[in-house]
Amino acid sequence: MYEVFKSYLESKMSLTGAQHEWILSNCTVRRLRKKQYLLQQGDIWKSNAFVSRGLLRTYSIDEKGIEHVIAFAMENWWTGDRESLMSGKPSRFNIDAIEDSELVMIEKEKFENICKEIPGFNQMANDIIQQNFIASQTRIHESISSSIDEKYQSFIQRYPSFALRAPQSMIASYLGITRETLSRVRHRTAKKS
Amino acid sequence: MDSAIFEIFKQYTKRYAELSESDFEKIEEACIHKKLRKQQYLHQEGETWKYHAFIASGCLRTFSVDEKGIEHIVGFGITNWWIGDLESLKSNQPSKFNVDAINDSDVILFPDRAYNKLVTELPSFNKMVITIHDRSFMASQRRILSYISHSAEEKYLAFLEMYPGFADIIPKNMIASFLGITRETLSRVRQIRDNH
Repeated sequence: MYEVFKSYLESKMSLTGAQHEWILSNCTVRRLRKKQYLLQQGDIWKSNAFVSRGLLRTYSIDEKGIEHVIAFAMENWWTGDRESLMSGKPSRFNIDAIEDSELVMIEKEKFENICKEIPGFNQMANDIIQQNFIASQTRIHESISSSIDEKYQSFIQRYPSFALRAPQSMIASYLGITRETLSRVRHRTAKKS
Repeated sequence: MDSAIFEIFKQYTKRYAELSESDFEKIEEACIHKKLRKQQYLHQEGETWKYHAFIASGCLRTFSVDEKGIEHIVGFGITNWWIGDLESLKSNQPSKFNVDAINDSDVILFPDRAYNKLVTELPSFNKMVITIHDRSFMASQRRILSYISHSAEEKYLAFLEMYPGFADIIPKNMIASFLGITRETLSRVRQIRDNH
């Protein structure tokens, strides 16, 4: 059940067999059925979570009850609420499973300990934060500079799996547009190609 | 390096990590002071960005220019902030962005290689860098949430809350660009707010 995580680690760093074993001894596996929560708004998020199977989303709910999807995560991605993890404060987000999912969970202290002991793992952790930041900057830039059609194009190009696997309502929410607008955009896009 | 400028950086690090005098000596050797006059570029589109840049004084912005010549401001930075194009730095690809000074500014530049050497050699510096990257990421997440969920007025209020002091320094047309709204919408939003 750690196979996906093991090959992920191998692709990022070179580890001895003993190091592999030690990392895995710090992990637990969590299985979620579709629609089951990994994190609920108001709870404190205390782990790092690697997705070994499935698809999840991170979203907030505003005072009108509308959901705003801030992120998706699938196999070989990490998920969680970094802000709650680092600040120790209750999360503003919910995370739930769009498909049946399996996650490798590493508690905060254990994760930090691994970073301290294994430089390659520390490097990986740093790279992930930076890559996440770069991806958010790209999204921010698109939010302020691109048309809705361009945003959708960019989304399906960069995240083809999300476009296939996530419901349209969630994709619309992720792009910050209504379900109806997304239908129109998809219609126009289909016509062009 | 001008000691008063480096002192600003030294004070800043205290928020995140305890660095010794010998650490600071290594850091000072690794970095370069750059003075920028208003509207001077720190970095231009098409160039590959190779630094980590700390703002010791002044105010800068990161922006793209689209094919119609319209500027889109993706970030601001004031004293004690970092600025640059991490994507270009990490990918070693030409940047889509420009960085210029909104006001006269002092920037401390760390060439990437020297910066990484500090990260490897000084555990406190490493700790500080992780915290800074974390904070940048969290701020960008909040901004994304604002873009997808807020009305124009809520976006402006979130801006005032997230970036205290910025609204007094930064021209209104740039704030509008940063929020992804027109100058007219921003005026309207500010009026509504002032009347409250």
